[in-house]
Amino acid sequence: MLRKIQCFLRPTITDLESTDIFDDEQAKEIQKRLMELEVPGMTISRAVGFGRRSETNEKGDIPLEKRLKIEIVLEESKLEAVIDELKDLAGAGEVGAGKIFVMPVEDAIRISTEETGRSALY
Amino acid sequence: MAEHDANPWKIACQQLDKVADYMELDQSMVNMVKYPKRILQVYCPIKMDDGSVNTYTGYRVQHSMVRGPGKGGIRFHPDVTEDEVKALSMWMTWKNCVMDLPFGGAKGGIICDPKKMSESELERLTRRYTSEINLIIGPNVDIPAPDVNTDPQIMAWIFDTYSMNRGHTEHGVVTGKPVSLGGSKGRLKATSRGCMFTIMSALKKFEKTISNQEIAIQGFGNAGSYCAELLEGQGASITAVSDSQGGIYNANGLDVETLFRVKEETGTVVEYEDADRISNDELLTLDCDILIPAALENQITTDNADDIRADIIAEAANGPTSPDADQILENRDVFVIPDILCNAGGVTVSYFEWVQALQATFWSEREVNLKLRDLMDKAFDRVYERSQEHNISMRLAAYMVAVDRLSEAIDLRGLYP
Repeated sequence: MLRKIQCFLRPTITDLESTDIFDDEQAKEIQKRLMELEVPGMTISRAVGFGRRSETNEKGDIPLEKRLKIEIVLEESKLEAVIDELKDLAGAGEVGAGKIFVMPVEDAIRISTEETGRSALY
Repeated sequence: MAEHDANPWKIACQQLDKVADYMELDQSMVNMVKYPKRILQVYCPIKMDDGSVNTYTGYRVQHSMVRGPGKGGIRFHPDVTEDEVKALSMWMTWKNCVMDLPFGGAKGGIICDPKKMSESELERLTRRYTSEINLIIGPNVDIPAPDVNTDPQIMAWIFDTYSMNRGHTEHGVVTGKPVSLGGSKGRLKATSRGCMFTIMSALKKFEKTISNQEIAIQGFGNAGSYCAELLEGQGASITAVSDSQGGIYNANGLDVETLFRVKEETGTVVEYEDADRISNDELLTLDCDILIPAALENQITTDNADDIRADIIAEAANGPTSPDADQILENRDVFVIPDILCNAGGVTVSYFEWVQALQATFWSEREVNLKLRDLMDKAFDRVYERSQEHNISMRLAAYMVAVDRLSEAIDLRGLYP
């Protein structure tokens, strides 16, 4: 069974605008640690959003907050280890550290070879 | 009568009468939900290894089969009585109703001391007992499971005996089988995992998180030990545990992996270093956030209920709180997650095993755990809502939910003929 992890983490770099994502040390660290777990691949991007714990500003609005969005498709058997790693990377226990969602993936297709399922990931 | 010697059937009836009074249930309905549908007593003559013949008495009680087949464990113990099995079968009915599983309630037992029997004597006893109750069990009739002193191997013998008598393999006749014979993944830790989910739900209601909650666990058997492991994994601090030899306490938390190793190597948790020795009674009244009685019945009584300092009691054991002690806890606003909800994870994964058997399929452990969480969360929320609506304890609310579901099913099915 294939699953997709979609994870939103609080960025450690405050000035995201002036830092290219390719130079983002946090993104590099995430990539390194996930590669050690032999995940088949990862997409990382920057996103904005809000959650239940977002704080209201002086105008009474809830401003959108910056997040790193990580997406990984992998086999179910690797889920727990990757989730634990992401929790660790996020600073587990801190309010607003982020959220992890897990969803089913019906199929995966590698376009170049037309491999499908697990074969398409590796 | 002393609380410790209380007849379990009388306690079960007392609990039902309390909820029936509160619900103003019609007396004819009270009788229909109270008395067992069927009680079978069997005598099992067994040839012992020394050539002598011993005859053992066994029971299978089917308390209710209104909402589905009977479901409940079989225990091997010298203290088994008909009244105990009747009470346990009624509690199975309520547990299955609270979880909204399509089962009635049943229980079985054999008066024997398995610790004084060889493996081959146990096998012969299990097979003879299964043949004797063969007429009233089956995948669509009544599905036994493990209980005190019965394990996956004994379930495998029940499964084999029943299948041989039928002439074909029947995976759905019993649950708690070894995984290689159709047992469900996740069954081993199911009771503890279910208990953990109810604790997490309770904490959420109090706007707390599990992180750093101090937890004392009485009992380090299947339920207690895995509760410790799972809750530590969620960030809780396990400050005290115990087994039949006594208990240990460290305000800074115990290391659960080490506890497992010490228990494995020495047979008891009290040999754990870096902790103070305490008695089982002292454990119950420790200053902690959550108390998990995961050992025997009637541990929390009128003798100690006033001294309990935990905010939440999660009843991983069956019947750890006497009815009189329960009233004291209720008056003191201690939040009790009642046994029929708190430890229902075991029967819920048994239900999953039965479903997998009927469909001839198998699920991954993750799938089992997620489905378990879903059902535990729903059951907890239903009971909690009821307790809030009526301003009553979680136990009374759980019984109300259960009795409501059973009496509705009786009404809908009608009386035959």
